This record gives sequence, C-alpha cells and structure tokens, in this order.
Amino acid sequence: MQDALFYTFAFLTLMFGFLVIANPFSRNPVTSAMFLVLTIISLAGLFVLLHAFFLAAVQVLVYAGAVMVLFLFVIMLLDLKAEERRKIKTLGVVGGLISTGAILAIFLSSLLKAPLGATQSPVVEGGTVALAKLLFTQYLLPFEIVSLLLLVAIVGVVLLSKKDLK
Amino acid sequence: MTVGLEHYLVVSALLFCLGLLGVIVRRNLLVIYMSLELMLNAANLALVAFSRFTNNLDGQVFVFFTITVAAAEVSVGLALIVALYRKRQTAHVEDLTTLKL
Amino acid sequence: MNLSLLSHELLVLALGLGLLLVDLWLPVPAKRKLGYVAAAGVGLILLYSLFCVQLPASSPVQYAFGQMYALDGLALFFKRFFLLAALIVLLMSVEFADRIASGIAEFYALMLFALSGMLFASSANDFALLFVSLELITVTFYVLTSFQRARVTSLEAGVKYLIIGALSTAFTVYGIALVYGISHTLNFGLLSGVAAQYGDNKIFLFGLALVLVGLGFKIAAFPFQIWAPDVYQGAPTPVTAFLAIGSKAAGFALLLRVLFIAVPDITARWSNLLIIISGVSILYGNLCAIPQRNLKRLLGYSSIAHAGYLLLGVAALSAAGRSAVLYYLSGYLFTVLSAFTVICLALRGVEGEDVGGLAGLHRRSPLLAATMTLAMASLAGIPPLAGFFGKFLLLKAVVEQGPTHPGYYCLTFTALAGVVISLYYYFGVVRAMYWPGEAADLSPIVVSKPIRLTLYGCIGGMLYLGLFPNGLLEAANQAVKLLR
Repeated sequence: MQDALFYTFAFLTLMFGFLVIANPFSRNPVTSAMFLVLTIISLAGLFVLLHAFFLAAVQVLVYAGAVMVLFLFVIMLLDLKAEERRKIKTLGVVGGLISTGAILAIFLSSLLKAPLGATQSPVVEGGTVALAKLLFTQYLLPFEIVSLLLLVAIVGVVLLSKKDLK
Repeated sequence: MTVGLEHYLVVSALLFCLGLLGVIVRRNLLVIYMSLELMLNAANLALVAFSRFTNNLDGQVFVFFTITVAAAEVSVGLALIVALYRKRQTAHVEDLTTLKL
Repeated sequence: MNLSLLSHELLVLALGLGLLLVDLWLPVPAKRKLGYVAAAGVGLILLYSLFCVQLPASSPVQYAFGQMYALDGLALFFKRFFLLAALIVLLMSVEFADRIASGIAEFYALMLFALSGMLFASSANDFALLFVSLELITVTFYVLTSFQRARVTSLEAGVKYLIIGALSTAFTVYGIALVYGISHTLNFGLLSGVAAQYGDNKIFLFGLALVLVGLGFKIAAFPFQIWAPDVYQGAPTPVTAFLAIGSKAAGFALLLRVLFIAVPDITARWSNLLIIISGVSILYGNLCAIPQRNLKRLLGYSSIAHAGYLLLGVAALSAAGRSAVLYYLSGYLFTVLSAFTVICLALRGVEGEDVGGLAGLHRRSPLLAATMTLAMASLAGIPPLAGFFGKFLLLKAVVEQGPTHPGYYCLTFTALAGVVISLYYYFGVVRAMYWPGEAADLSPIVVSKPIRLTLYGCIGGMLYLGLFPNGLLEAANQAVKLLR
C-alpha cells in the first residue's frame, strides 16, 4: 500500500514538475503556475509518507496557499499573453539538456556507489510538538533571524511596489 | 523491493534537474522563478527523506527555514518583477539588455 | 546561554529598527541626515567592539545557542571588518541620498540589516545559521540593488541578481541536504569530527561541492561570476560598494569556516580544484576588464580578479595563506571603498559612469583625484600601498607550498601575469583623470567634511597597511589560529 502510494505521488510530482517547465499545449505562465501548485501538493503527499505531517501541512498552506496565489496574482496583473509566442532557442535546449543530464548522471552514479547509512526501521515522526521543541531550543537563533528576514521582505516589497513614497 | 531512501533521493534529484533545466531553457522570468521553486522543493524532499531515514529531526527544521526563506524571497522577487514590468513592459530575459551581457 | 556574545548583532539590529521607527516622525528634509546617525551608531559599536570586547585567553571560542553561534578570533576580526565597511558605506550613502527618490531612511535601515546578516554569518557554526544569515544578506541586497526604481538599469540589475541569487540558494540548500543526509548533522563542530570518515563518500563530496558553488556565487569567483559586472554597474553606487566589500567578505568568512572548520580533512584534498578556480578567476576578471568604459562595470570585473587573488590564500591551504586572505581583504576594504566614494562624488551627473567623466578631475578636486590614483595603484599592487603587500603575502604563501605540488608555481605565474594585465586598465583610469583632454565640466566638486575625513582615513589605511603591516598581520595570524 505504502509503496503504491509512493510510486503514485512520485510519478505525479515528476509529471507535474515537467509540465511546469515544458507544457506541450500552452506556454502561458498561468498553466505553469497551476502545475506548480499540483507539484507542490503531490510533494506534500510524499511528505506524509515520510511522516513529516507538520511540514506537509505547511507545504500546502504556505506554498500552495500563499506563494502560489502570489504568483497567480502577479501573472494576472501583468497580463503576459503577448509573450507566449516567443521561440525557444534549440541551442539553449541542447545545452541545457547536456549540462543538466551531466549533473544528473554524476549524482545518480554516486548515489549507487555511496553507502547512505539509512536505517531500516525509521521511527522519527515530524509532528508539531517535536518540531516546535527543536525550533525553540536549538534552532532559536536561525528562527529569530528568519523573522528579521520577513521584516526585510515586508519593507522591501512596500518600497518596490508603492507608487510614490516620501 | 520496499521503498527506501534511495527512491526518494532519485525523485528529488530528478525534480532538481527538471528545475535546473527550466531555469536554463525557459526565457520568461516568472517561469524561471517557478523553476527555481521546483529546485528548492527538490532540496526539501531530500532533507525530509534524510531526516526520516536517519532518525534525526534537524532536517525537518531546516525545511521549515527554507520554506519561510523561499516565501520571503518570492515576495521580494515578484515585487521586483512587477516593478520592472511597469518600466519596461516585459517579463522576458532577452529584453533585459540595458546592461550589456 | 550568554546573550552578551551577540552584542554586536543586537546593537546593530536595535539601531536599524530604531531608524525605521524614527523615520515615522521626522520631516522629509531631515531624513537624509539619518545616515549620519546610522554611521555614528555603527562607529560607536565599532569602538565598543575594539575596546570592550575581548576573548578570554582561557577559552578562545565561546558558543551561544548550543553550538549554533561561535565567537572566536575569526568571527571578531570579521565583525570589526564589516562594521568599518558599513561605517564608510553609510557616510557615502548620505552623499548619494539626493539621487534616491524615496525611502531614504529605509535605505539606511536595510543597510544595517544587511550588516547584521554579515555579522551573524561571520559567527556561523552551523549550516542552519549559515543559510539564514546568507539569505538575510542576499534578500536585503535584492531590495538595495533595485532601490533607484526610476532607473531601468537599477531594476534590471536587481532582477539579474535575484535570479542568480535564487539559483545559488537552491544549490546551497541541496548541497546542505546531501551533507546533512550522510553526516547526520548540520553543526560544523560535529561535522569536523566525522567528516574524515566520509572522505570517499561520493554523495557527501557532491553535496559539499554544491555548497561551495553557492558560496562561489557570493564571492563571484569563476565560473559563478556572470552576475557581477551587470549588478555592479546597475546598482546604486553605495550598494555596489557594500556588495563589493561586505558581501564578498561574508562569502569568504563562510568559505573559511566551511573549508577549515567543518571539513578540514576533505579540503586538504581539493587543492587542484581551488588552484584552477583561483587562476581562471584572475585571468578572466583581468582580461574582461580591459575593454570596459563604464567605471563601475570595470570594477565589477576587477572584483572577479580580486576574488581570484583572495582564493590564492585559500588554495595555499596553510595558516600563512589564510592570514594573508584576511590581510588582503582589509587592504581591499580601504581601496575599494575609496574608489567607490570618488565615483559617487565625481560622476554625479555623468550618465553611464563613463571613464571619460573623470576628465579634469585633478582640477575639479585634487583630493578626489589623488584618492582615486592611490586606490587604482593599490588595486594594481604598486608599492608601498596595501594592495602590494597583500599580494606579496598571498603569493608568498602560495610559493611556500610549491614543493608539495607543481600547480602552485603555475598559479604564482598566472597571478603575476594577471597583475601585469591589470596595470593597463587601472592606469587607463588614472590617465583619464589627468589627461588634458576636453573636459565638459570643470566646476569644482564640493567635498563635505565627513567625506573628506573618510577619504583621509582610507588613504591613511592604504598607506599604513602597506608601510607598517605588522600590527594587522599579527591580528590576522591570531584570528586564523583555530582554523586547520
């Protein structure tokens, strides 16, 4: 059962991921964004299979909910229809395929050779309590810095998008 | 064969390379940015899988940080792209020619 | 847990948040002067750091938040370095303020937040802290780079930095994931204990390489340099200056920590890679700088070359090399910041920052012309300036390693060739200033008192470091003592 679910979600993730970057039917960024939402939701499924329940929820809430809505909002705002019909350069595609394929080949071949040290009996559960305990003890400092980062993002976005600021 | 760490890592590597390919091949700034999100998500999957199979929660905490940072980065990035669009009416990499490459 | 260890960061953050608040009540004309407040605050923190913060001899490393945050000699050296850089950049920003249409108080505050990110980065002893502090710096610079929204170049530079920065983030995170997955830890201290046993694990090495790719983007070393010229050219001048010195030094601080604290056993086997990256960066930066007419773009290419010079010290894999890196960075601080201050003042009305805009500068303002001449001479490595002695130390460290690996001799030769090439374009800039060509504008440039002091300070720094290197060299040696 678990294995079947893994293969389903893995297949869906990769298929939707492929459709984000290369949709044969439409080059409209809106479709890319919608497929990215689906990729993220399939990934959340994989997170659940890995017992990372809290992160699966965050993935759906923050990524699919907030980040992607922002993307869609911007795409609608910009109205990019006129840009759909640009040619993709074959040279770029070939170069991209070769370089990416090389990285993938190196990674997969090293994955086959390297001992991963994985345990056969995973017990760790990514529940809210367990994560929160770590987050507010050992990882308190990065947590606080991330809050600062969010402040910078707020200030930055206001500055970048406000029409005239005094 | 039961599904193990390797399977998750292969999925994550494939997703990472899909994202990288998108960054290299696509010319629309928004799609490039979405491909970058794919790459980050691939890294998150690897972190969660490692965390599960090594019985160590640090990886999941790290994913929490990457998701938050990605959200902040996306908000700033999209604001920047909108500001550029207002000026130049383009969201296309090849039109960014004021600074010669 | 001891919060006083984080005093630098907390003070800078308090200053930044204070500026954001004070801005709400200030009338518009007064906001520009907030830069002096920020600079004075940073100056006081620097004085506090120099005179009140000392590491007890009994415990050279102090940890906070578990082992997350380390205050050691290296961290303290870099913290003072960043504070000094921010002080000069803030003073420069006040001169630049009239070219920023709106939000000048936020501009200063964001500079301080970027500074706090650099301060955190210099103390990072854990991949989690490395990642968030790096992101704090990067995201702040996205906003700062595109701050002149009225200029298309500024926005384009921001977007380019954004895409490349996000790409480097993705590489870094994936690399951290792999390193963590194999070693089961994110902490540098724990990692150094186990790294040796994973020396043959391909996944571990691959992950480490990806982390280095991410840091390579930050320091703008070849082949991760593509963003540097465009972003240097498009960003507002004080931001370019801060990017050139602060962001690069933060990258080097983290590089030193990862290579020589987290995984020293593995670094020892990577000399070939470091030698190649260093040599190619030097050649690429210097050769591409030759045809440039835009002064900021020229300095962008030259910064790639200087990343290469700095990597000489890293590639030498010796204590002498590492302290030479710190020494060279210090000299580079005075040199680059004085060059950008001159650009900020002298090319005020010149669109495109063309080198020709400097024509007749020695008549418009002898001080600016003299500063620029000294800065270019120091960048080129002419004695007796800081750049010369820094290059001398770096090359000495590399040559000392020569007997272990013939590549080091090739690297020395490459670096010397790079220095010779660079003479050409640095002196092109000097010639543009003194050449008696037709200068469009010969009105004298008014140099305000704080900037005058800054320039004297920078000139003094360049000369002092070149003539009396022992004091700083001693400090640098102390700072790198704990690196392996």
